[in-house]
Amino acid sequence: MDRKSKQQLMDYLFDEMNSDEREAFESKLRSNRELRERLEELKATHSVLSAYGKDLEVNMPAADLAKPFAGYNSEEKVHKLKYVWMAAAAVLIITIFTGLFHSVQFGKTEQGYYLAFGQPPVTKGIAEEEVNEMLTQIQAENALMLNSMMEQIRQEQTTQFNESLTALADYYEERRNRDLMLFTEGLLQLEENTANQIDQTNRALNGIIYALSNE
Amino acid sequence: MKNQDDSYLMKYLQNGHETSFRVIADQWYPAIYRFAYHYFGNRADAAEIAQKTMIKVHQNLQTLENQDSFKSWIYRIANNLCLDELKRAGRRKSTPLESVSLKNLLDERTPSTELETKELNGAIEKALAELPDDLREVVVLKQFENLTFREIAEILKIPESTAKTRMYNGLNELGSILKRWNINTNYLNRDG
Repeated sequence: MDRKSKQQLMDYLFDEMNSDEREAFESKLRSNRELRERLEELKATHSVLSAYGKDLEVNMPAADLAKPFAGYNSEEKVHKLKYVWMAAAAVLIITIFTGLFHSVQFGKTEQGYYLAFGQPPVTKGIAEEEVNEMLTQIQAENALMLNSMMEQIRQEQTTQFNESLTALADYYEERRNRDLMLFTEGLLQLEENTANQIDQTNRALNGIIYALSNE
Repeated sequence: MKNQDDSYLMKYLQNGHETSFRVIADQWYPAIYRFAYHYFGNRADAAEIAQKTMIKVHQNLQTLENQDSFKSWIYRIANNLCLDELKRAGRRKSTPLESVSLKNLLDERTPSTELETKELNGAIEKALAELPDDLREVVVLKQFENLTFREIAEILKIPESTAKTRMYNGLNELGSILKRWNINTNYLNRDG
């Protein structure tokens, strides 16, 4: 069977033909016994397969599926939130009842509000002189600390400056010495070259004189 | 309509609305489970593939550029996972038919009891497992997932004509296998 007929059989079997194509194919079927038989066989197999897995039940593993995704299961979140509220309410009720039985005290001090069982907290005032004395002491300590820090910083800076100056001086000294050495070497070389040139010139002149005198 | 819903949900999900994933998972987990079940013929593998598919969808949701092709995309993920699982497990398919109890089914044309249906299902699972991977994936997508040939072509990235030819060959081969096992493929037609 040719490839086109196979594809047409599939389109026909799975109802993927338009009306014109269907009509043309049915006409072809009527005139082609082999094609008809193939279609019947395919239909039979298709029918058997259609029965397969129809009653398959799928259990949604909602809890497992939710694990990799944060905030995925909103129902679970609501459930958890409910428990938190219930716990908070229980704590509040226990506190109220304990307060009733143990003369709970609630009031206000200079520092703010208080809630206590039994005697209220005793507030102790501080005299103005004591406050002034504390302030003076803190200021003195701060000044000392500041001076000490400033002195330390100044010393560090001076040390760093001196070290930098020494390093710079060393560098220039070394450079000066190197330049001097190079200059001296250059002079010596020049002197040597000049002597050589004079020597060569003399020899050449002697040669010329000798040649002229022989003539 | 479902495609449109999926594309909207994907857009929401890509914009950070995580709750959309719940809806997608509710809709698609059963479909992917069934797809994988038809592929492997057992629930454990089907559940694993379905869960892995959902996780991959969630991990890679930003890579889906065209939300309208969500259906093809999710089936492609599931199909690739099935193929990976087959390679990993190194399954070989030729399970002897003797392991399938078909004693009452073969000759009596009364598949009315639940037991017989189970036996038939078992036989079909074995027959599907006999198919080469490239034919089986098309058969599963077409026969059991009712996708169009165009959708199958898109999922498997093959020409539509190839999908049709593979479906023909798959059905043909399944028919031969069932006949070889003396399963009369006409008996169900009595109802139709």
